[in-house]
Amino acid sequence: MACRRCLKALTRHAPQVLQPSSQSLQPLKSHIQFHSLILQRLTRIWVPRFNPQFFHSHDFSSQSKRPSNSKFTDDEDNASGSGAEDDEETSEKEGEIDGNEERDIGNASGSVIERAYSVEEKIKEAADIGYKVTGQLQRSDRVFKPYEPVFAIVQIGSHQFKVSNGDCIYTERLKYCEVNDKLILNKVLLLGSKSQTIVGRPIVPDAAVHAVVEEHALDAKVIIFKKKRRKNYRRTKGHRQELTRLRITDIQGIEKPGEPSYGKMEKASEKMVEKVAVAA
Amino acid sequence: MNKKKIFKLAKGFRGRAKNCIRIARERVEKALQYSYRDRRNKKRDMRSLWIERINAGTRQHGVNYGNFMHGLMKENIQLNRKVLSEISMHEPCSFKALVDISRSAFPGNKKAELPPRKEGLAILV
Repeated sequence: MACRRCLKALTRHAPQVLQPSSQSLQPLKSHIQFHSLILQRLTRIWVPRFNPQFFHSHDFSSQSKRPSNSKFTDDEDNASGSGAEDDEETSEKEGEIDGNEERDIGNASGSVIERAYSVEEKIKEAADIGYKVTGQLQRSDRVFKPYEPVFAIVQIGSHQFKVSNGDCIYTERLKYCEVNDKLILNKVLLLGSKSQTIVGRPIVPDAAVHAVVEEHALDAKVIIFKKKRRKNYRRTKGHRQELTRLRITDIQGIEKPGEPSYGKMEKASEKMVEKVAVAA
Repeated sequence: MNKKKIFKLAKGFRGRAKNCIRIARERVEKALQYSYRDRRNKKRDMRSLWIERINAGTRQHGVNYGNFMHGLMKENIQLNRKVLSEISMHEPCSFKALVDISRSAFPGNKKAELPPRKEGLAILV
């Protein structure tokens, strides 16, 4: 491990050793990069106007910083590492050149740039990671149906739940959604009813489970108590985990027994005809 | 104030440990230590319980747990043991479907025989 760390440090410092003139220019560089990030959404012409020298030193610093981020476990490096990963995800859409600059800026000031991106794309990406898509806010929709004998196994984050219509589940706190939000959980692993079982490998495509966020709550308090006997060491801490309560309203993707679609249509049309005849 | 908290946590303890502060303090500290340790043990215990249940469910269909999980892994089915145990208890038809998938994926159990059916007290009736 120590040998690997020395090698990474050497490669990190190598470009600075090779190009000592660039050391003085680096703060300027970051400043220019920050401005370019702000103006990125307005014009993308800023990018190719940079000197090619800056680009070469870019590549060295970005490439060598990446492995060091993965090795060290400081908080800053974690934030910058995660910022680098998120910026990489967005960079795939926007182009490699933009991605390099974003990575460097992410390494410089990690969490600030993440919030700047969290308006549209970041929310959707995080929702995909947690396998939920926020639908509309609920107003006066009749969403709560009576119980149907259909179940689904849905995955949220790393937890899997066996859910049915009308169930209530507690999950880890879901960011980017508020109370009375409709959610669609699209990582469905298995659907089952009385007559059918649909097994996904790993997920069932075109299956959706609709849910409504009931509340964001805190779990009951757990007391974390550590003691080493005869060594005068005693620590007490309280912890309340943040949870979200979801109410499952609908499962789509499987034929539900007891509700044949064609039969219902015919009955509805007959009723309509009768009503019209009576009124006339 | 601290005494009140200790006595509140000492409810239901045996003998003087719920009434006398000197003894209650020791017992409460021990109880908190146990709860810290057991919060980690609970995860292990639950997983072994799920595995026992899945094992029982699959052996009813002539497949043992190891081959069943191997077949599921081959088919890239990412159900975890918690929901598998729930399916094996409450949804027998779906569980049988999963066992059949696993058996076809991993050929080690195709020739396995079902355990001999035990005839219960219905004989006497």
